Amino acid sequence: MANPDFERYCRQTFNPGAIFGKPEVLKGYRVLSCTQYILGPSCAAYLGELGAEVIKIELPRRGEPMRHSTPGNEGFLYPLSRWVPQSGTGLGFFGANFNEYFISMDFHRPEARELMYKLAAKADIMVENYRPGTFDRWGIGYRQLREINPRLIYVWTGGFGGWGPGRVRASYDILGQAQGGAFSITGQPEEMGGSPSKHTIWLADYWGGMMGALHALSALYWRDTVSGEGTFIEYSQVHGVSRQLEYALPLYGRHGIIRERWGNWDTQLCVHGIIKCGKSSYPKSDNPQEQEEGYILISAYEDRDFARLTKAISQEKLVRLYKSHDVRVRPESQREIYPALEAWAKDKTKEQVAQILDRAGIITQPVWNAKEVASHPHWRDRGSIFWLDDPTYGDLLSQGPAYKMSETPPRVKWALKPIGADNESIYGKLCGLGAEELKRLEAEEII
Amino acid sequence: MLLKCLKCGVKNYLDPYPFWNFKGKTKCAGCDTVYGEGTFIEYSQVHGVSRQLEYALPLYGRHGIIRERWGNWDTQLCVHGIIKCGKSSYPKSDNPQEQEEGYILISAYEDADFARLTKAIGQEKLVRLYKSHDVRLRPESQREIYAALEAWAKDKTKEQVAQILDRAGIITQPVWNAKEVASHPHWRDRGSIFWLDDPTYGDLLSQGPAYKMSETPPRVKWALKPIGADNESIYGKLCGLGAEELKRLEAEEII
Repeated sequence: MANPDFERYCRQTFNPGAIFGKPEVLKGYRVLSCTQYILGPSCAAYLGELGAEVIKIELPRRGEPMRHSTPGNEGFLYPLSRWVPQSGTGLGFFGANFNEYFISMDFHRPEARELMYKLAAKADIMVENYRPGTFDRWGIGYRQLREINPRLIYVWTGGFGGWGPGRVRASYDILGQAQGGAFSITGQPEEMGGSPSKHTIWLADYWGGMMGALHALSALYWRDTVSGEGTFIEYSQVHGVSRQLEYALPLYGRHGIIRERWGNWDTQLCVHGIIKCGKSSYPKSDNPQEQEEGYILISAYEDRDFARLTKAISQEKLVRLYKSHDVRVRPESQREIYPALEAWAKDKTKEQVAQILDRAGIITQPVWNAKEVASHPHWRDRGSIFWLDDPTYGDLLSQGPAYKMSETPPRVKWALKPIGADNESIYGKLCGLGAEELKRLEAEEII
Repeated sequence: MLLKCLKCGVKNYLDPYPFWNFKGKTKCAGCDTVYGEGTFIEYSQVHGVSRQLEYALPLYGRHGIIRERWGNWDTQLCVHGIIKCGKSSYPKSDNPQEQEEGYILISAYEDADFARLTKAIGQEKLVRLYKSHDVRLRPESQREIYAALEAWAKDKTKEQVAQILDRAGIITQPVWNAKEVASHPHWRDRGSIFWLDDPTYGDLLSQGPAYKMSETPPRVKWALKPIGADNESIYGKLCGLGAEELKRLEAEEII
């Protein structure tokens, strides 16, 4: 039931135009981010969105691998650095390094180690995702840094963790999803021509990063309200994927049943899946996937909703055949119900299907692409998508924090910066380095 | 206890006992800002999904290009995808998906790794055809490269593919199902999967926290409880309700 008074209250409380006039919740906390790719960087970026001063430390000149692992460098996020102005940063870097200060350092050089000690002495949190034990070997791991700063919260994230029989391997998001069990329950079954499928978005990385931020904040609470001491936090991304396996483990443990994939339908609810419509919404588009027929989510698993759905598509006999949800959810029932829906939608676009079923009170949602998302006023109104006037790269259409906070809203101030862009200000402020010293360290590629 | 004012920078020295008795609120001596207030946090799940869209939005905003899907391969790295092996690891299993041919992740996108991969599968000509990552990444290159990998893996299980490529120094990972995950000692050793002796439901094979904390480790104490199982203890402790009152509220289905 609509509550216009509450809507007005929310609009006023979370007004995106007022965000920069409010305080930041983590202002005053300093985070060192010695991270690469997405898992570690996103952990620090989430803290940066909440107002922490995040200092990203990359290798001199080259930066972290994610800047180079993706195409589209030259025409967009350039310069890569003041040393390599003719190149740029790959698009994959975007979204995982918001609001950070960028300095460079070759971690394993003895002089760099001293700089790291100075930075760690003034930091609250450090996030790191090199192979387990690497920083320890270089003398800048948790065991060494806690001697300098016992209040430091040290977050190590990686594929397999620092111990255990499977630990000595490199990992990526895709490996985490493959080993952790997520792929095996994602994708169409073979009978529909499908296979185990990966998520396009590096979800295991972003989710793992978010949980890293949550645990760092918990340790911060423990430090600042109870113990005064730091914490060592350690994470296996592969096990993070298994943490989300829902009921697959107790099902196997109790009954020996191995959960299978079920494509765009659902093993627990029916109707609650995505169907193909027969017509494209953009038949004249240049983009091949816009030329395709559309897809739409339909959700009508309760008896009353299912009855309304079958009436709307003139297939009332389905209600008689599949009266209860227990019957509808069976694989053989689903194989009949979804084709009936697709047959009905064969001469319609996803928007036409949505219009008819919305009128019947059924929950639907056409599958939207980035253009459709970016064009919808709901994202703009709430400040979840916006044109960012980035100080280095100019206008960027950007995503932003989806969580809104009444008193201390998260925000995006800039997307990223070139490698070493803040060497002067950060090393000057925290390590007391002057211009001559900085020049020498940069020339020797120590920073 | 010390509270440094974010607005004016004044340090407010607080005695913890009266501080807590004032329900956590305090006013800065320098500028009257009230601290200790709660926050209303509000979230759109739909927009949370958009937060993770990586580069799809700036790509569309700057160039008008709408990002497309690319299945089990990767738009940004090649080789970095999942291929089908020709043989099942469990041909006699009762589970239809265990009877299927296996799948495996192969990651070898750097030049040196790609060269090792092509040597391991006896297809060195691929290195000559697709020398740089930029070239390998093109859709038409990916279609050729992954097809060559699947042709080589046609007479192998996912474990056999892993064994050969691991020996060549290539990162691989067979796609594992819940049984394979649960059977691996790495999860048990780290306490990420364990048999939970649940007070209500008995033995449950359960996943647990993947993040480990040295001082204050997260843990699973029980999986869930029946509806209203704690009515008595919680309403008693926090609302001061006695047995009679609870009985009435439950009878009237208020609680």
